[in-house]
Amino acid sequence: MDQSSPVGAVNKAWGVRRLSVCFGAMLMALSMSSHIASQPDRVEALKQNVLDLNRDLLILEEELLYPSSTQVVMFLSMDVGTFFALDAVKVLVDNKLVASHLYTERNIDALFRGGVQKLYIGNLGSGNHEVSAFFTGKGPAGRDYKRGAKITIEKGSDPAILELRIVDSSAKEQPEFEIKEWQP
Amino acid sequence: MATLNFPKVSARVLAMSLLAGLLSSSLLAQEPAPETNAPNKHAVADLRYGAALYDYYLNDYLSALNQLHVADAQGGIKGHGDNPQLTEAGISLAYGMETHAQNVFRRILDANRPLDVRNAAWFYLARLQYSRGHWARSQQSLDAIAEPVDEEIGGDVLALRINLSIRLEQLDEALALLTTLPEDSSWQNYLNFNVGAAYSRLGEYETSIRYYDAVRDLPVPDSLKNQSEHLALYDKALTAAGYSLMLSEQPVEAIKRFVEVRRDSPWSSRALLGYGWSALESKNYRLALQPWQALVEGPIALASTQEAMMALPYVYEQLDASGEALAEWQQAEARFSTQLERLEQTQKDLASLSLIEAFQLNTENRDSHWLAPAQTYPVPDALNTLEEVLSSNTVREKMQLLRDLSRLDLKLVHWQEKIQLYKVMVDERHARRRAQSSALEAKNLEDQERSLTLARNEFKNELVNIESNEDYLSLAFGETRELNEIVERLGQSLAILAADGEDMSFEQEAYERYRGILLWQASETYSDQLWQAKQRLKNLDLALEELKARRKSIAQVLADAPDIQPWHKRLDKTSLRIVEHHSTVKQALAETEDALRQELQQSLSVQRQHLLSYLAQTRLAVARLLDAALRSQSQ
Repeated sequence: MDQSSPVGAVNKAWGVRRLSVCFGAMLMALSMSSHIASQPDRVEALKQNVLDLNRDLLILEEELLYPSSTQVVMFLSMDVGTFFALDAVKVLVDNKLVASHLYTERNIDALFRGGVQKLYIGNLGSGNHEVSAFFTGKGPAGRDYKRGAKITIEKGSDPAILELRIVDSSAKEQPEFEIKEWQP
Repeated sequence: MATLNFPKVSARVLAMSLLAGLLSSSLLAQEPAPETNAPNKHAVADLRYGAALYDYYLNDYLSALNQLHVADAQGGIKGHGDNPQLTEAGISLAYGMETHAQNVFRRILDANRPLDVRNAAWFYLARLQYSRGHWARSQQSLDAIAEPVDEEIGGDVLALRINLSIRLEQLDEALALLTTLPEDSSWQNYLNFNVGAAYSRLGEYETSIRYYDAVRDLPVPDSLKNQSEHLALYDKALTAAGYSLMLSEQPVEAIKRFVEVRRDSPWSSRALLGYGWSALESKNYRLALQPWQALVEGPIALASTQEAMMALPYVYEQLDASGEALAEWQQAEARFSTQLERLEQTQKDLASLSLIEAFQLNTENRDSHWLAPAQTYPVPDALNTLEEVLSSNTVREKMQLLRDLSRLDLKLVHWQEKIQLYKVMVDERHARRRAQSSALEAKNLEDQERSLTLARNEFKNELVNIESNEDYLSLAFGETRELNEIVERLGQSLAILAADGEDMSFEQEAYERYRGILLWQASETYSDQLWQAKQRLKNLDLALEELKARRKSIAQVLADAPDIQPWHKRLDKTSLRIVEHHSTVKQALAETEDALRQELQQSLSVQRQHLLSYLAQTRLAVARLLDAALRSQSQ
């Protein structure tokens, strides 16, 4: 190969290039970064500040929009895998629809792993109220399944906290649906 | 929200649920996918803890952290010990908050905590630190892991130790650790590759080839996902082995590796390039033509294509095919010129392009898991020349930082809008309350109540008198009452006439007879009328009670109505904090975007230099060949 010719010079340059390609491949495979750490640290400090601010804002928002004397919160939990696959839920308070949700696979997975969905937060006047929930999905043997649960609560000056629960009943081989009122 | 009392769940179950969450997330870029992802069901003792986990499992780390922080400010989560803190630290880790997670771990991960929980926490911290290039910190975290290490993370811990040793250029240590890795570990091929790459960097190609070949020779895993990962690494290892062989002057062996790389692999262009160079090294020019002819058909943005465009005409010249060589040089010149123009345009575009929008970093539903594989962002057409640099770790990390900052920015913009809305709402509430208060004043409920009470008392006294005097006629109604009124008037007239000395005995007798008849008629309905009158009194009492209660309740509501001033003060103060933080976030956002832009511009400049160099050499080659052709014609 004529190294003195222009092409030869090009080829010499390629030799260096070849090495860079080779090492590039290997370095990329290692995913080893060598960068300044200060920027992530700074962003972390910013995240912490915004998280603190966000916390204060959320508390302020809750106090402003849902004072504890009228607050009602509903959660949904699921401890089920065999007998029921949840598709949707609707919640009515005094026969008026207040919340509904369609569940994706990710939602179901999050519930199945122990997550509890905050389904609804709203206001309710003092006195007795009827809360009903309707669950639809696939029941045992993959059949369409729709069930309801109902509870009457007496709303006082404390927040009303309800948990809509879907649990397996291994004795009945059926899913069970219930609404539990938590004491604040 | 107040704390809720559910049966306690064991700390281990909850801690493991966090770890299961961390484990279930995809691992680092160069790590194998976990074989299983078993769900972990449990109940919660505090619904707010469950709600935080729910958001966490949906990869919404900001919301999950918010839930935990709000709960903490409202008295803390009860019934879960300090697991919420551990969870919070774990989520912070996934959200890229390394220092915070480390501080929490240091504070609460004492000897009372189960060993597997402690080890897992330190391991994930070490992994984040490693991925950020904080080698010393990563080593420190790894040193905090104590034996025995839970088998669920044992392989990953060992792999991280090996990678860190490689990174710290402690190859002997890495090799010693590698020998302790089980043969069937899914880490085998990754670590063998990394060791091979380390030897390549040291120039010890013969040794590196052994490790690359070990990757090639490992059996293909059964699961489909692991198969694709295995094949990607297989191609990478073959390409790296090919180059190492080429550099150790074994071009024929190198070709054997390059030809094994799959054509649809991301490494195929590099392999084809190496194939051509190896053929050239072994003086087999015709063989070099094949891969390079294929390569020049590829996108010119690829460095391999550009290199092949230079190499191919050179080979034609070596084969004395001047016509083909000239055609290739000319074609290359045209393509390089076009690409150079495109590149310069990209440089101009990049100067004003919003990188956040271009890479869709402000999309809310994007995962932001710092322990997950480096994310692939869509490359806009305008930046397709940057595809290679965009896949580098430094650029990816900058993009991740940019994405996190962009979400913070978005969040703060939303809060600013909300706070303005809340201020209006507080004003409206106040105005409504004042209007209601005025309306109530106008109705003068108190006066109404007073006059009603007076009337009620009069009615009651009258009723008592009627009852005690058995005054039947007072309760008479209808015709009886009307006739009684006539008779009463008659009685009064008779009394006046009698007083004037008139003889009214006949009329007096008639009057008394009529009165007697009326009295008798009234006595017939007296009991019923008395009962009805008492009922009316009772209803009146009830109405009065209701009025009193309503008045009291309204008075209470008006008295309890929050004063507008404290709300305004609070909202204004918060608004200021938002503005302050928003300004800092925006500044960091601009700086990060600028740093990323500079890095991309730098890459474009390097590409431009290459192209200029290629173009100059191509033009020289064209001139040289044309000159030679002219000379040969003139001769």
